[in-house]
Amino acid sequence: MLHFLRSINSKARKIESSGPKEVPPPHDFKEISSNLADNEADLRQEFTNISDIVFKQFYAGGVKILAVWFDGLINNRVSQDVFRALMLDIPEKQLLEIAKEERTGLINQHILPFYETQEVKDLAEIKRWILRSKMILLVDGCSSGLMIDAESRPQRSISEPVVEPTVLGPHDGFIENIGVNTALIRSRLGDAMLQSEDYIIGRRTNTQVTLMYVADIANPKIIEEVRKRLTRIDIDGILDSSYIKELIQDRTLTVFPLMKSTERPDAAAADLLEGRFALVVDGSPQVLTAPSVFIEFMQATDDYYMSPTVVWFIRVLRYLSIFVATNLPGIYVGLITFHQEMIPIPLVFTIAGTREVVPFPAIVDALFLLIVFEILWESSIRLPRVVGAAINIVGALILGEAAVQSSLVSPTLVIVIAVSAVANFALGSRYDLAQAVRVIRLAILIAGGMMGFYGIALVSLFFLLHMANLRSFGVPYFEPLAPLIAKELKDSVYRAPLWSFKKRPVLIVGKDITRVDTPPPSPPDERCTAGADSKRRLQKGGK
Amino acid sequence: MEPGKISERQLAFLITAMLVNTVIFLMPQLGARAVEQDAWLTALLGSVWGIFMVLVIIALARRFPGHTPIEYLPLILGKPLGKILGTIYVFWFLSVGAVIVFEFTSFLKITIMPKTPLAVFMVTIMVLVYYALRSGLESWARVNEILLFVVLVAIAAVIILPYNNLDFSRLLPLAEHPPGLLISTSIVSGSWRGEVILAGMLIPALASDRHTSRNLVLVVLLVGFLLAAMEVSTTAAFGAIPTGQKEFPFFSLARMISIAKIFDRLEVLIVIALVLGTFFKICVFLYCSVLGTAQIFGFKKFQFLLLPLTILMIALALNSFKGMPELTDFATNVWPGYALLSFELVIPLLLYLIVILRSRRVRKS
Repeated sequence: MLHFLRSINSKARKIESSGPKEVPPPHDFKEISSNLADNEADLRQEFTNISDIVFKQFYAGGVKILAVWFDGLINNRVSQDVFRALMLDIPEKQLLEIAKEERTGLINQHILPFYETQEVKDLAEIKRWILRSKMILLVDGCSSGLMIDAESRPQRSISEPVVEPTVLGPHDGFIENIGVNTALIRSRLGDAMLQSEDYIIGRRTNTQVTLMYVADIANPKIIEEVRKRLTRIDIDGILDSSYIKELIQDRTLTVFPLMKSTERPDAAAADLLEGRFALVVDGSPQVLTAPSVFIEFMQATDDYYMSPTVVWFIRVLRYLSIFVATNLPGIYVGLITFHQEMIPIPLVFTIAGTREVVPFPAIVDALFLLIVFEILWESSIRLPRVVGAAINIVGALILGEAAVQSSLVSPTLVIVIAVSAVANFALGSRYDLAQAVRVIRLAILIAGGMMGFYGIALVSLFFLLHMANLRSFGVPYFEPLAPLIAKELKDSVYRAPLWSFKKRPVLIVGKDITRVDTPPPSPPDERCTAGADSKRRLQKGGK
Repeated sequence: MEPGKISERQLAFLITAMLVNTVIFLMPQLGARAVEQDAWLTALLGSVWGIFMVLVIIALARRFPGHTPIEYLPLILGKPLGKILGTIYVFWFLSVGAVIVFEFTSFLKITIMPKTPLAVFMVTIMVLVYYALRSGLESWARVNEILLFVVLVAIAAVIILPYNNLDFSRLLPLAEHPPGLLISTSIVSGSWRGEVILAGMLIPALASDRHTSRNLVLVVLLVGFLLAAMEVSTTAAFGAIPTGQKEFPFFSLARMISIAKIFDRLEVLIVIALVLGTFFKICVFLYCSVLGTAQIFGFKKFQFLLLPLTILMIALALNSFKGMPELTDFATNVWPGYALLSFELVIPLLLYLIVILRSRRVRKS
């Protein structure tokens, strides 16, 4: 039985109440002693060999009080206010005059000018709150303590999203603080149905994870599934939302991203409105949303902030660029090696001329250049900014110019690889898809070099089958393309105007299906237009 | 037994992919050899057989809802006889599947990569078929839903784009040959259309089953129309006698495509589009053999049969024919008797008669 309790305790825990959070039993409950010295000894024993914890004893209203917190995690101004209120503003002996057990209650309700406080009866819980960067007050003679949420962790301010910049639309991005992140979502979605649940995940890190969803839009089965998967997690630490992603997604053995991570609050809010859920993880500026489908990764946030007619063109461009990024090197090598007859005749001579001096077969050439490019990409990410200029020189001058001149590679191939790379960067705002493209491109290149177009067809077919087989929280990943849902193609290769999105995605959403009920915009009646007026006036004037 | 569910549209698309492939590159020359310029008439006539087979197989499926033919054979004929006929049917699926693998890989070898051994094509495509079947009926039926458009567009391109080279006077005189010869040739064409009876194995996996017969009839008509158009196009392009002499008139026609005189020799793309379609045809045949085998022996799962039967199909395909001439001979002389006149039409028809007679006797008593 004890073992059972312990095993539950080490796993992720869901926190029941909202507001100031408490850890629900079962856990090793320990009552707070009414003797302050005992409590202090207990706490000091728990936090031995920790240099940055602060135990501060002081007297307020004639009673000894102990405050405990971690240095640097508590807002200085707030802690000053706490001490001012307790040490200076309490009338002398006020606490001595009332019953001992009521002291904490009095402080909480009458003296401390803070709203986020909570009385705690359990010493184990007190310890947990201290670890979760809260301030703790223990009053002598009283068997309950007080938790004060005066948290002020070191954090950067809200700034422009780094991975998903946009030209139009809001420019704020998530940061590493969960409170700020949920607030950013909440401030965009002022609906009482936007519900949230908190989880503490990570045996050692005790990281807070908030699950958010719009209750009457989201599918209850999917929400239940994500709850189940979250409570299943048992791991030392959660250092980023990608940990959660990897632990709860349907399948890990795939190159495709099965959960979308976004650092844009507007994108997260849009996903919530489509019936998806969001997972905000403390310490991570990437918020996870799921169930995700493939076409989502082909959409950018500002597709919805521009004219749909323009976006139509941009979307086609984006699908073209994913095709070019994955297939172009493979197609080029296939053409050169197997299907020369397909190249237009003037081009054949040019390519043959440039390839004349190159000693290697096309596939060796292409693999060499592609791998060099991948290394270049990788090193340019890892390199400190200061030495960044060096990589540009090496990449642009030596690899481009000199490789051609030394006839290691043909200039056509350099163009092919470069175009494919640029097309890959066009998917930049969906970084995880862009990574998948790198792997697919390599596979298609090898297939094209070995078996020509037949090989490319087989590999593409493999990836299509694989994608059709994937699911994200039970939702087919390749929806609405496969299974084909004609009505939902509105937001795939093109984007229809907003008023035409009548229904939410049918495989994701729960009860509330209707999304938009706005009639399509139309020109005003002729009578009230200025143009008609002036026309009439003109006619009168003519008479 | 099949955990996945497919929609009616997915079934229709799968059957389209199944019916339209391989026949499109074999039938033009076979038809032209038999009835010269009237080949396209026999293609249309073949649809009549196809519709007939759809009606029989649907009628049987309506009598035994939720059962595949392999499951209801013992119910009709009694257990021993039903199981034996079921086994023969499963072997039919497997052997026809092997023939398809052979003809398709030979087509690939001859048209685009003549130096590559046949076994390489067979193994690569069957590995992928194995992967598809392992990931479940639902996923490959879905992918087919997208890729069928590519296949149909490619076929339409071959029919339409060489319009400059078409001389329709080559189709005259119309219906020169005696009706008996036309009908017997239509049986050859109809034998391919008769592969529609494999739908019987897939009908129990349908999520809803309201328009299945209508859809399948439409599919058969569409395929007949496409095949007729293809035969019109090849005959108009080359003349009836040269069409019959060519190894693959379909491929020769594809070679004539030239867009703006810059993009020509696009036949490889057409062949690749057919790879995408034929892949699903092989999938259907292998799936039916695997499902059928499991149902004969009453296994709860069929996934473990997948690997042995995939290997068996490769082995059968490798040892089936010596080359294209033998296959062509098979297709003209043996195939109609092996398909339409036995497994596709006659046996299901007899089964249906038995069912009707039995139910009438039951009603009397």
